[in-house]
Order: sequence, then structure tokens, then C-alpha cells
Amino acid sequence: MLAGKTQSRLVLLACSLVLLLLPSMVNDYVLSLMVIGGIYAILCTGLNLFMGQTGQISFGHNAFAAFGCYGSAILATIHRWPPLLALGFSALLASLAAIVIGLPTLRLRGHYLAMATLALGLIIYDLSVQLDWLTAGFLGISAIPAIGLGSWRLHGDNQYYYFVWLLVGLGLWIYVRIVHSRVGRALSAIAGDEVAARSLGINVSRYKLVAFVISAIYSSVAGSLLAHYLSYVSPEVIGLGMITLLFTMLFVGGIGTTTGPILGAVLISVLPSVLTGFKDYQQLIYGALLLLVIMFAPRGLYSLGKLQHVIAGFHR
Amino acid sequence: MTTTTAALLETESFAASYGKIEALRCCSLHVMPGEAVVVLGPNGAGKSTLMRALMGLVPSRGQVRFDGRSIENWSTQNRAKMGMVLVPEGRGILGPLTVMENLELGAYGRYGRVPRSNIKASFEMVFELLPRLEERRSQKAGSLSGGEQQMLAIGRALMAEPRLLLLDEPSLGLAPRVVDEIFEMLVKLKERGLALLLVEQKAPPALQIAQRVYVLRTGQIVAAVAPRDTDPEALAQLYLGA
Repeated sequence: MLAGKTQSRLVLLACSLVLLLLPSMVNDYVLSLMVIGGIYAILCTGLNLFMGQTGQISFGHNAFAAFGCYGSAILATIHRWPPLLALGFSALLASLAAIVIGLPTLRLRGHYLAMATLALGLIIYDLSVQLDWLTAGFLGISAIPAIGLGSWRLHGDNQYYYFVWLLVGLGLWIYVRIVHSRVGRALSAIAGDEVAARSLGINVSRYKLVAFVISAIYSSVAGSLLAHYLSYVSPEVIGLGMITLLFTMLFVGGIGTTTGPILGAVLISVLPSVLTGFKDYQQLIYGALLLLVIMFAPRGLYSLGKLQHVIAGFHR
Repeated sequence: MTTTTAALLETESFAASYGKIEALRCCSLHVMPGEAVVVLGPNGAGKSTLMRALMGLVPSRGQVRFDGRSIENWSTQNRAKMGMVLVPEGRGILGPLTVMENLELGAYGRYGRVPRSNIKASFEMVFELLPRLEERRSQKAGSLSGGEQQMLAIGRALMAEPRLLLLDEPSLGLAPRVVDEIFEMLVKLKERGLALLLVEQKAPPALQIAQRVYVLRTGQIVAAVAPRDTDPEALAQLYLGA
């Protein structure tokens, strides 16, 4: 039996190889699903830091994705900013918004925090509809330029695929660095027992805010990528449907685990297309599969990997 | 109650409430350096509220001085940095983390402020005092027994290098033999000069280490006695309010 660390590295290497070779094995449609899956993987990794690692709840991260979507769309399309600069500036705006919103709302806990963040998502959705002089209302903003800087632009699904998955890797690396740092330990302590964390001298309010802001940056970056990739954004993209999707991805993949949310993001992005053959029964089967995952792998699909270790343990 | 200026912790007219409900009224107590003080009281007397209010986890009124400095407006983390560390009711152990990781969290406020060698020395001190934790250092804290978890909670608090250790019912939910073990360890801590303030429902083990006992009933201190000079029956009557 290989040591845990070596085994993890081998799995990581195998996954990287598959991701690297995937464009030569699948058609453009599947590749586009993988791009969308990668973008959602970035969003889920950020949300996982706030929810899985810090033990908080947010129904409002679509608001920060909206900062990215609309920030990039408005700056790059109307004001002709270089898309990468628009992406960075939108992330900065999202982080400032997270500080302003987080300072009062993160005093709340549990259901109250859930309701406050839900309200945030709804307000931002409503603003994206009502401020039509800025957002073009339900019509949305189209012809958003592709990601690029100066004369360089990403072309086609193939290039987007590698760019997005490079960012997924970067996002995951930052996530792992945070989790294994002193900040990560403090976040775990807050998730475990807030009173105990405070008693140990951990500044709970500050670290909650740090996690909230970092996750908002992830959301905004993912939102920008989505806008540039789809070259279109409308209120529907950042509505409540996005939150439902994010929660499904997090819980199906395995909330609080390192790579589970990425697995969930890819699976939930690809699954509806896999089920199209079932026609009218597509939603029924989709729901039944989700139910099965929650029933038999309540800690997400990631935990099934651990199950193999348990089975191996029985046979030893 | 009048106190000397040398008290490590001192409260006067200390009160705490949850909204309109007053859980603690007009409490005055003090703990001298190296002293073990016990607050006894039945369920619902306000013992945990007292501990939480002293740590700044619950809004409070009145005066609190630690080492001669008024700390009423201090945040919990600043009180912890000053040397007041709470072992909360229910232990607050982080189950998914290992014993070592839990202990590291105890020294959280010290990283960057003191040399790493000091923190290493704290680990050695904790392992010397609680050898079972060293044996289980790589084990997930959630898989420890109740007694071991209580030891870990105390060990983690010791990693913060406290001058006053606040313990909220350390015997809660533990078998009598384990309770004895915990209190034997508290005696060792007292012998090392650490001041202890513990709240307890179980009087017999607590009285063995206490130099002074406060009896708390319905949010008020109704008596302050030295256990050596007090008849156990009289103490029981104070406790029960008979």
C-alpha cells in the first residue's frame, strides 16, 4: 500500500494528465462543458473555503459572481478595457463589496446568516434587472470580448479550456496553501467551535471576513470568465439558479474536502447533457441520481474514494 | 468583597445578561496568583455565564481587573493574549483535526510574538504533564475518549501559556475515575504556580483543590468560604439553599 501522500500525488498526476490530453479525445461540445465546469469549479473552491472550511453559510455568492460578470461586461464591452484588466478590477470591486457587506452580516450565524446572504443575492439580481442604463436589464450585455490582454486574445474552446483549467489549478493551489496555513487552522477552529476559537485568542470576526472576501474574489473571477467565455451576460445567469447549482455541486462533490467541489462542478455541468437521451425523463433521472448520491455518499462523491481505503482495510 | 491589590483577577459588581434576562448579578470575586478558586453552584446558577462573561464572550457590566488592569472593554482575544484562557464547557475540541493540530491552535496567539523554541517548550511541558496526548499526537481528536478530550482541551489551553486558567465544569460527563485523573492533573498545575478558576456542580473533587470557594445561586454569589474552615454540611446547605 502506497503512503497517503505518494498516493495523492499519483492521483493528482493522473488527473492532470487526463485534463491535459482531454481536448484531443473529446469533441468541441464536451470541451465547452468542461470549460463551464472549470469556471464553476473556481466558484465552488472559493465557496468551499467559506462554507466547508470556515463552517459558515452563504446563499449570496451569486452576487459576487455578478460583480465579475457585469464588471467585466461593462468595462470590457462599453468602456473598452482590456478584458484581463476588467477581470482584475471587478475582483477588486467584489472584494471591497465583500468587506462592506461582510462587516455587518458576518455577525449573524446559521439561519440568520443564510437569510442575510440570500437577501444579498436577491438584491444584486434585482439591481441587474432594474439598472438597465448600466446592465441593459433583461436584455443583457452581449458581444463581450474574449479574455486577453493587448492584442492577445483567447480563441476557441481549446484555448479557453487550458486557460480556465490552469486557473482551476491555481485556485486549488491557493486554497490548499490557505487551508494548511495558520489562517486555515483558525478557519477550522471557527468551523469547529466559535466559542473555543475566541477563547484561544483567535479573532473570529476578522477571519470570517477574510474567508468571505477570498471566496468573493474566487466568485468574481469565475463570473468574469463566464461573461467573457459566453460573450453574453443577463440577470438569468446570476440568478437563484446559480446558487442552487453551486450548492448541488458542493454537496455532491463533497463540501469541506479539497477536490470534491471540483469533481462536483464538473459532474453537475456535464450530467444534464449525458442524460439528454432520456428525453422527458431527464429531470426525473437527474433528481434520482442526486438523491442516490446524498443517500449513499452523504459526504459527497469524494468520500467514495475514501471508501476504497475502508474496503482495503477490511481485506488486510 | 474587598480584595488586595495583588489579585490576579478581580471583579466588582459584575453582572451579565442575555437580552433582558439577567443571568448574573452583582458578583464580586477575586483570584490570587497561583490560587485555585472554585465557584460551586447548581444547574442554571449562572456558572457558565460567569466564565463566558469573564472572557468577554457575553456582554457584561461592572468592573473586571486582570493583573491590576481594567479589561471590561477588551476583546476576548486580547484577554487570551494577556493570559486568561478558558477551557469551555463541552471542551470545544476540533474533532477532524489531530491532537497535535489542536494543540498548535492553543499557541495561536503566540506565533510571531515569541520564539518558536518557547512554543516547542510548551509542547514538551504539555506532553510531560499529559503523556497520553503524546501517544495519540497523530490521532484525530474526535476519536479520543471523553477523558482524553478533556485532557486535550486543558493541554490546548496550556499551550497559550496562561496565567489564569478558567475551567467550565471539567468533570462534566466523565466517569469518576477519569474525574479523579483530571483533578490530579489540576493539582499539578496549581503546584506549578498556575492560578485556576473553575466552576463545578460536583463539589467533592473540586473542594480537594480549592483554596477558596464561592457559592453561586440564581446568578448571585451567596457565600465565599475557605473549604478547610467550613463544615461540609454547612457548605451543602449554602449550595442547595436549604
